[in-house]
Amino acid sequence: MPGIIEINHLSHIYAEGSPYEVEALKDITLSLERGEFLGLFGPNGSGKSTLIQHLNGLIRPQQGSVIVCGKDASNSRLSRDLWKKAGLVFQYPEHQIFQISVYDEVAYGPRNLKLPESAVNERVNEALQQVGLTQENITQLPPAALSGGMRRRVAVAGMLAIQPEILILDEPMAGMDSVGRNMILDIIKKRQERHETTVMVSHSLKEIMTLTDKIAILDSGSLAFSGKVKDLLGKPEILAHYHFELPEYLQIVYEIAAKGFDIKTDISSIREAGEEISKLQKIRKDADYLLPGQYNSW
Amino acid sequence: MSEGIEVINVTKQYNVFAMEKIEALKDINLSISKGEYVGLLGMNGSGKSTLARLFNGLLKPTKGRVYINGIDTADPVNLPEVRRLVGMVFQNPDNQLVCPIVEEEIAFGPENMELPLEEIRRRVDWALQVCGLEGKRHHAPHLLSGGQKQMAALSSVLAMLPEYLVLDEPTSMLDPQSRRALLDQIYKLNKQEGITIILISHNPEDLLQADRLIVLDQGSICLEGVPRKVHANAKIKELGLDAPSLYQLIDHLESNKFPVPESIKSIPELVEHICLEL
Amino acid sequence: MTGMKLGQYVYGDSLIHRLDPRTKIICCILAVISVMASVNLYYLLCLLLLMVTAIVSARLNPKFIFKAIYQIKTLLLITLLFQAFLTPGKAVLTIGTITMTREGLALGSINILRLIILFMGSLILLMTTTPMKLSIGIECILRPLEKINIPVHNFATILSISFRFLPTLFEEASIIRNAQKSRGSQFDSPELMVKIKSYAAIVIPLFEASLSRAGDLGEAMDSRCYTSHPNQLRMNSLKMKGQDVLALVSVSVIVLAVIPVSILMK
Ligand SMILES: Nc1ncnc2c1ncn2[C@@H]1O[C@H](COP(=O)(O)OP(=O)(O)O)[C@@H](O)[C@H]1O
Ligand SMILES: Nc1ncnc2c1ncn2[C@@H]1O[C@H](COP(=O)(O)OP(=O)(O)O)[C@@H](O)[C@H]1O
Ligand SMILES: [Mg+2]
Ligand SMILES: [Mg+2]
Repeated sequence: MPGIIEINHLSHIYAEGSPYEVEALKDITLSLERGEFLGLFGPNGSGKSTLIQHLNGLIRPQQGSVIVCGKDASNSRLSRDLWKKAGLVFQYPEHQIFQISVYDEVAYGPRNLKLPESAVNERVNEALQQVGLTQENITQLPPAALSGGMRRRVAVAGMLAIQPEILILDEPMAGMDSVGRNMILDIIKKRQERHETTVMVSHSLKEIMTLTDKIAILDSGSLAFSGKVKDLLGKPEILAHYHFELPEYLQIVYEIAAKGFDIKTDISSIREAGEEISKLQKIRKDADYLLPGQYNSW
Repeated sequence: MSEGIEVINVTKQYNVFAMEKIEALKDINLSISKGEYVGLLGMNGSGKSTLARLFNGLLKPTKGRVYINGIDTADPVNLPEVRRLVGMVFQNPDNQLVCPIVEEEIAFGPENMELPLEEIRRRVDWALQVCGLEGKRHHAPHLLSGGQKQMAALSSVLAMLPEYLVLDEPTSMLDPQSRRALLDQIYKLNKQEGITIILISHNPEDLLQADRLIVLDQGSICLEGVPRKVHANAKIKELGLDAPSLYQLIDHLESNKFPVPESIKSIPELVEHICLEL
Repeated sequence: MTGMKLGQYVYGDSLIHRLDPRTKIICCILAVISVMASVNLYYLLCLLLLMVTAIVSARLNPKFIFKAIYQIKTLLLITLLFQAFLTPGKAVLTIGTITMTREGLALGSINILRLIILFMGSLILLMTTTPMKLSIGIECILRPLEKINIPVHNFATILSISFRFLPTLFEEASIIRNAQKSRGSQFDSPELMVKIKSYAAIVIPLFEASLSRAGDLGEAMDSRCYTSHPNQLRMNSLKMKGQDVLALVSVSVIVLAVIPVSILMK
């Protein structure tokens, strides 16, 4: 069965033929199954935003093919309506708010779907619920009266209300405090439970590594890695090259292992790390007790 | 004249619409001595930016006083001196670069201080070199990456040779590499140039290198002290501020009877300690 | 967007590119004066030759220059027709009550030539000078006006902040446009109201962003003790070199030649 996203040999060049030409994507081949969560990584300017704009029809493929929800994105008639299938939330979406009330802002997408007002109402309330905006009178407030974090939630709700099959988020956690970040992670978890597809551009491996089904790394437009988190953790040279910050407990365990100690590195929580280190210490003490002086030769 | 920053009984209210008032800071008392590295932690809306703007006179306290090296920030006559002493770096890298060329950006402050051209040149060279931007001297700011923009903002402030550096969430719009580079740079400025640092963030991980942590909640200082002590306090979890995982790990180690000295502030230090102990 | 391309700076490293912007601006002004002062065809052809030489040595694409001239064809045509019909003289063609004259045609052609020379001159200036350099050049030339209390520096600050933020503004507009398209905005809808609403979805956030940017910028400038004070480093970033003197002298000679030429030709 073909995946919900099928990208084949996709390349993209901005301003082709001019002195300002940029080769933003080079021969990308990537696919995603329905219900999976893809984490998309890469340094600034590596082509992440360009790639995800192919998924909702904003950019049509120049070379190669993109098929989303079974629809060919290079077909201009199909790609026009792709925004309904693949909902793309841009970076800093709070800067794209323009309606006079929170309600109208969230309702903008569903109204563009030409839904009846009762259905719109239902979707708006549901979406606001999902992003944790449940205060009684919030729908009538002007978005300008809200703080930046709240506005971000409103903007995300605006996309959720469209109920796209694929939700694509471009660095949704940038600048958010821990409460806001957890809200985003909760939305993704719930989508996974409902077997819905999510793509997220991120800079923080440690934040989403426990959730992602698949990771792709772009570098200067090329796909430098794609696969499962486990495969990535087994490639320290890639981790180091892209300065991925592993969770601190993993960094410590890896470094201890690198110094020649026999420590289990296949762990998934701070607690386990603490236990492993203590275990090591215990072994060491026991050994000391049995064979004093032996370790001088280490 | 007393050195350092003194914040005495400061309250700050904002007028919203005609009648409504928001009390962003409530009766704050604080003193920061020269050479310190202070971390200011709090959730969005806790009043961090308001406090930052009080330090260099962009805002005036509604009640109370702020003194920089004994100079009152509320007196407009003192503002040029206060702003020379207290440099500010803001959150958005795009919106604080004023000039169309990096070199001019860095000269902006010294130009306004009406220094002689030779001195301006010297400071621009120095500031570019300290922040590793020599290669970008003649570039346009909009062609720099986010991290480079923030570095340019930092070096443009450094060119005024401030004694205090206030950074209002400078890392929150950066990618991890740039964030790391900026934090290392700030640490270096504190240790090598002796500049007093007040680093503001909502992310406890940013503030690991601070000597002292001040936690703001709804306009009041609710905790203060050495970072590890602060994070050991149960109150901070109620605020939704998770301890940095380094400290969580240290906690686990200590509860497993593996003592870790208080001086340890970074992963390499911890790894070294563990390996020595093993 | 195609309009913006006209006269856009083209990166290059020729002698003309390297000339001081003040030199180029003054040369252009001199050219304007001499073109205005002369009606002599041969002299104008000389100036045209000068422009062509400048274009060739700046390695500008001649095709682009022709295209640009073609874009002002209506203006040129109107000039020609006006002169041709309104100048009294020997009739060539009569349509109803108005007649086209030989003298008129000659005068019209000369005026077309003048316009083309001026147009080429300004194209060369714009295409070989970055906007930044251009504004510094203008500021330096206008500098003496500060003596009579005209705030040249404030004007220059406004200009330079615009240069700084114009690219950011364009980028922002295109991001917002794409973001609204992702929520179903229809910019190509046949219904006027839908179209207006779609554009409001760009303009309002753009305006808000600009306001908040203005606030941020104000704070950043105040924090660095902004006083409206001339910018020494910028003023001193320009240096007249030998090539500038040479260019100025030779252009002046050509321009001054207009006097003997017009006396002789009488
Ligand atoms: N509209 C555009 N026109 C020209 N170049 C662009 C445009 N958008 C992006 N680019 C360039 O394409 C490259 C990839 O950009 P982008 O996809 O935004 O990367 P990322 O999102 O990973 O930072 C960059 O070099 C960028 O400068
Ligand atoms: N210019 C202003 N006008 C009115 N209220 C403001 C203004 N700036 C900040 N506030 C309010 O003051 C409080 C503290 O804000 P701020 O200092 O920006 O916090 P932080 O930087 O910690 O997010 C918030 O409730 C905010 O809404
Ligand atoms: Mg991007
Ligand atoms: Mg703030």
